[in-house]
Amino acid sequence: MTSSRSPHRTAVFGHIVRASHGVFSLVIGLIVAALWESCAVFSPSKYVPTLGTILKTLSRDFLIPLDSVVQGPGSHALWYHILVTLGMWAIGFSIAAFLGVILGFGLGISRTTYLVCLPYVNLLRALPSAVLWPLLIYVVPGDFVPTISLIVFGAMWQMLFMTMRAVQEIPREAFDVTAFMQLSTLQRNVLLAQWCLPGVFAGLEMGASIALLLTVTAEIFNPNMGGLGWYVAVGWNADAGPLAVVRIYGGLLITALLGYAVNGAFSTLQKRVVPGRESQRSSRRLANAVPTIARREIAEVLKTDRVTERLCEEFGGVQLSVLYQNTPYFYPEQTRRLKPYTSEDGTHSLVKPLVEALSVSRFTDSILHKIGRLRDTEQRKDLVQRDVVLRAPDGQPLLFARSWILEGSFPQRIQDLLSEEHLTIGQIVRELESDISYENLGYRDQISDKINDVFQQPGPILLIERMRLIKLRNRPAILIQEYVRP
Amino acid sequence: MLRVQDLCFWYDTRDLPVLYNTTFALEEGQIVSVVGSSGCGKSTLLQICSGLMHDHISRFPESGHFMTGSVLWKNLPLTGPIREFGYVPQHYSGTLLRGKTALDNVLLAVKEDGISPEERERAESLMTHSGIWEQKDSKIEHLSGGQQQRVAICRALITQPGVVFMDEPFANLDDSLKPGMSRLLRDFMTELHLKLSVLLVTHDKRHAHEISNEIVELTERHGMPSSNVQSMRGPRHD
Repeated sequence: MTSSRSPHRTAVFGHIVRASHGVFSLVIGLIVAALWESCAVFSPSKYVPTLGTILKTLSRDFLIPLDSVVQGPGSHALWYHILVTLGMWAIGFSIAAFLGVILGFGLGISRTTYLVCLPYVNLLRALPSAVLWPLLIYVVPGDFVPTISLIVFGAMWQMLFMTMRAVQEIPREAFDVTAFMQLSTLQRNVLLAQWCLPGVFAGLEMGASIALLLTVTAEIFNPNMGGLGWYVAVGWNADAGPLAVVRIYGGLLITALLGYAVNGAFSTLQKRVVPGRESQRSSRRLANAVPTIARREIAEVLKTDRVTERLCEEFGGVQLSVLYQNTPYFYPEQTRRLKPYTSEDGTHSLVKPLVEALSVSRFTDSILHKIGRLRDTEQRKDLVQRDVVLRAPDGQPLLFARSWILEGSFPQRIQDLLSEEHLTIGQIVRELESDISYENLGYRDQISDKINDVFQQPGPILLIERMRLIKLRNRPAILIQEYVRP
Repeated sequence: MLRVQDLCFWYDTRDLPVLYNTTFALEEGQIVSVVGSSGCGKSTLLQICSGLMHDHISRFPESGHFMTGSVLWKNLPLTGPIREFGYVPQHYSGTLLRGKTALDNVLLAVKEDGISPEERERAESLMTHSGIWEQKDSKIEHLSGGQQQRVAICRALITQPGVVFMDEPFANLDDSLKPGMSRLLRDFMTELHLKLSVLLVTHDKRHAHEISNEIVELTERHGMPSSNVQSMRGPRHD
């Protein structure tokens, strides 16, 4: 079965779908606002002010002049509180980013440092930063330093871990190739750092949001310096008049908008600075126009991680079929003489040609060797093979993935999830977020007439094959072979 | 130039060696191909000859890797990667920097003291011979797999190495492109007069025969896991 939709029509359809998402978001916002306004007008209560009252109060507070502020933070001058929050956020986030990225790079680049320090890092990051507040105000004098310390402590872990993982995921080939270049050690490290920019920026984006959250939290704990935290949680108390609740709502609205702006700014910066960002955008395009997407764009998507997850998330109605799983065979004894197999109920007739087409490929074979080599000295390993097909809501196959899983590597609960029939590998191992890393082993074109059953098209079809490795605590645990039809 | 003598290598000394008493030599201007079945140690041999394995063992002594025998470069023992070598990995695409142009990627390897006009000329010459000069300003992610591979090769050659190590240079190419790649390597050596030797690993014996002066075949014998060496002359005897 092939799509009857023309490429142009599909692209236009994709644009319409995207535009409609924006319109729907706006409509939802307007409906919520209308409901709120109805409640405020038809059932007057001091707890639900009208939107007009909130906006009028915010604009009035925004215009309070400077001289009322110099007397202290007790003023409701909104611009002052926004500036305080932004200033504290900028200082705290900058320090956290500096520490997080530097320490993350150090932990990522040196395996010894990683192994020695990881337990302590995990111990410290498990501490909710808010519980440090009593200690900070007891030990550190003043208002400024404890507030900044709270922001730094809470925000730096995400950036540290994302940087560390990004460094650990630099392809080994990149290390190998740069070893022969005419570069100083510093230049080589700067060059290698460019491979991990996408991960570092993802960490900075998350860290920025967390830092803003903690800035407002710290301002609630420490009202002496003002800020949006003060405006929301303390300021209303200073004016027990009818505007008290209005200011709480207004402060919350401003805080949310500030967070939205910070996220938007980082997202824009990331698109401009990080080369790999384009591939992530490509995956969105894939989700909108899979049947006609350009070959090059699919190749770009295949360089990213969690393709199947992205398809599931963005298509919404993606159907997942687990074709086959859970019959272990042993590596390496039986790898080369795999017997064709069928599902227990005999319904999956495509399984036999799949084995012939895929299992014996030299590419796959060499990767299986790689798993065996890298992992440890055991010669026998239980491998579970798992085949999955993702289909678009209209039933058109999007992706075929075959995974080989070193099942013994995973805790029992993950092994149980692997036998679930409605989850992708990515969704399953997400639970082990901090221990998991992805390594893309490469992709290539493949013309095959063996798996045309899967893609529901007769005769040879052009596919893009991608191999990737999921590592658990830096050891190969799952090898995934994916096929996408361009 | 490069001499491998009685090389044995174990990934773990509790296992059988991956390479066993391997001996061969690579002379100036030669192309030597290492062939053999999957898992017989071809890539391992390439990593040892290029010094990458020495570097890996010194950085990760806990890995358990162990080797005996010697790898000599100009009669001196090799202790790690050196700048007189160039390297093109099998999975070259991961080593190219996205967001940068093809020319930028080629020149990555020579940026220690800034890029000299000679280096820029050399880049132009290499890329012209590779047929990718017209794409010099294209972002690397916009090039095809074959073009990216040529960028990786040009980058390895820009430093004027004495030896280039290539891991499966044909693996990611269509059959129609493979002869072109063979010609390209020869062109670099003849038309550009590069004093270059090439040690390449491939599973493709046919192309190995077409391109090589000498072929080193890693073979299993008497139940040994791999790799006694059987050398044979290729069709080229320049």
